[in-house]
Amino acid sequence: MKRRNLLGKKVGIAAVIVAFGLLPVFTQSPYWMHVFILMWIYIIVTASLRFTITMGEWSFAHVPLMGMGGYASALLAMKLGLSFWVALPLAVLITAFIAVFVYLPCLPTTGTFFFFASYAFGEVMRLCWVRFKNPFGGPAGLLFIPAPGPIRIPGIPAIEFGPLSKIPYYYTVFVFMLLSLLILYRLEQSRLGRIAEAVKESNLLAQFVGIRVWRYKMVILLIGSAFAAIGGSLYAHYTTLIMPVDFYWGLGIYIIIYTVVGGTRHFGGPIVGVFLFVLLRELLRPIVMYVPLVYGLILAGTLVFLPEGLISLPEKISAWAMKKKIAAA
Amino acid sequence: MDEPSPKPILEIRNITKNFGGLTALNDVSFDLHPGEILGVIGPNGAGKTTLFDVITGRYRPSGGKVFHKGEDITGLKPHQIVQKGISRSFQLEVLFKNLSVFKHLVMSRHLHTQVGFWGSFFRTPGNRKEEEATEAEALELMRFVGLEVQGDRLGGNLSHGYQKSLGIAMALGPAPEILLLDEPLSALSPKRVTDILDLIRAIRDKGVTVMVIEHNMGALFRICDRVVVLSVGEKIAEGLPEEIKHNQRVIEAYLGGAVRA
Repeated sequence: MKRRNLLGKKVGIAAVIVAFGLLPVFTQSPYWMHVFILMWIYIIVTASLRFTITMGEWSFAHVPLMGMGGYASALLAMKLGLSFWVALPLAVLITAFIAVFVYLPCLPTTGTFFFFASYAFGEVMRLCWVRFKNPFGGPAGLLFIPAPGPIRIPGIPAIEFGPLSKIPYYYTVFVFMLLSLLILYRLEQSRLGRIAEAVKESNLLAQFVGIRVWRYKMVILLIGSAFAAIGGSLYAHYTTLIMPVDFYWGLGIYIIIYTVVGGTRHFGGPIVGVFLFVLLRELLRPIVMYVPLVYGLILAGTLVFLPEGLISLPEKISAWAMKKKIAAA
Repeated sequence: MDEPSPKPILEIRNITKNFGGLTALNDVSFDLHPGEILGVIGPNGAGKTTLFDVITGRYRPSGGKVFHKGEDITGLKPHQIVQKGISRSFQLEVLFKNLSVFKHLVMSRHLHTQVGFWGSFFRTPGNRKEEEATEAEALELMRFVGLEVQGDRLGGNLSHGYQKSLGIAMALGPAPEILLLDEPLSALSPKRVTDILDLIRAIRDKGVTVMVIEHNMGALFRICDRVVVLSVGEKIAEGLPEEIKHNQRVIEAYLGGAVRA
């Protein structure tokens, strides 16, 4: 029974991946392509935020670190003339390196204090981009970030990235998202994920079974930052312009809302959260000034009625049906 | 009882610990000999738990030193102390509330799990084997402390008695040479008290040196070889249980305080 369930799940996930993989066959409208490209980027950023939450601390520096990935990658491409394919991995390394110094002063704290300390150090980073016109461009940010270089596979024509078609971007971001999710999932299932669980439950007891709590927290935060940087780099080279305001604290709040409403306990939670909210945002275009209000209501409703998030809804329904069945029998 | 061996496994030397203006421990010294069960007793606020916190690296002492087999281990971090083979349980339930008992014990074997990061990431067959070995050890521990039926229950849902047993099992997970138990008998039924006393004896018989903090003196005196008495942060007596029972200062510390109150 359980095995069949697992198989069903795998088939379901594969079907969803294939369906979205084939999406450009059905619609090539630049509008929907754009919506989905941004959605895949947000999924990378949100899933990696959730990965860092598994060890118990909520980081508010995640979005500024995403921005750091974007700035690093854009500057490497613009000033050094590096190709996107080289700039992205370098930007990931640079961001992880900077993240060490962002999180070093935060790590002695826990809980709310960690949240606010990480906010402060993230904001320092953002203010640096505003303040230093050279090289970050000040409040206006960076313009004309080069698109990724063409992908040349022998036998087929080279795939060019440009303003004419969004399809190459769609597939590039889609593949990056799938790989990121795969790696994050495997990390969570590995020993590192189990240590994170123990650290989250009790820092104290974890220390006394020999876990170096501080080091593992840092490792998990750095892995999270690395994936945030992937999202930032993709964002920069797709939109071709980035500004400090793109990574302001409000986006951090939204990403946390996506995670909480989707469900923090399940790997799929943030994916469901991002999916629903991004589509909801498109539906609410006519009343865009009320979007934060609607988000707030949804967040409050979820916290009250479904504290484990939307992803726990099927479970809750089947538990409720089972109860009814027992009551009827 | 045979003579205590001349070389102590743990030497506590002139330990002092101040919290601001409050002196929790004042110039406490004693030895722990290999293979013994040492009881640490004293009225509330005597500094017993602080002493454990200092030995296990949770607090850095304000003065004094701790030696393990002649090596200075003062001020090491808790995870380093565990690596030296000194492990502890907690007085209050310090558990992973949302993890099952089985997962607790798998985590308690952390130091002895030789699973590499990449092996664990790619789920190599060798890694799977290692994990199975760890799981077998966790089951063994569960059986040893009598929690084999409780394996799937969450730490936070266990009854007080089982939580105590789980706490001891967690401290045994790192396979320590020295085990420090902080009030393992508090608020237990008489039947459970006997069970835990048998468990402590069984742990000693496996070659582990045990140091126990306890309020329940009657029960403690049934198992311990020697007793150290603390009162208001100072060591007021040390000796065999029989001597301690008739020590005038100990009686005063316990009864005197009670009479005045």
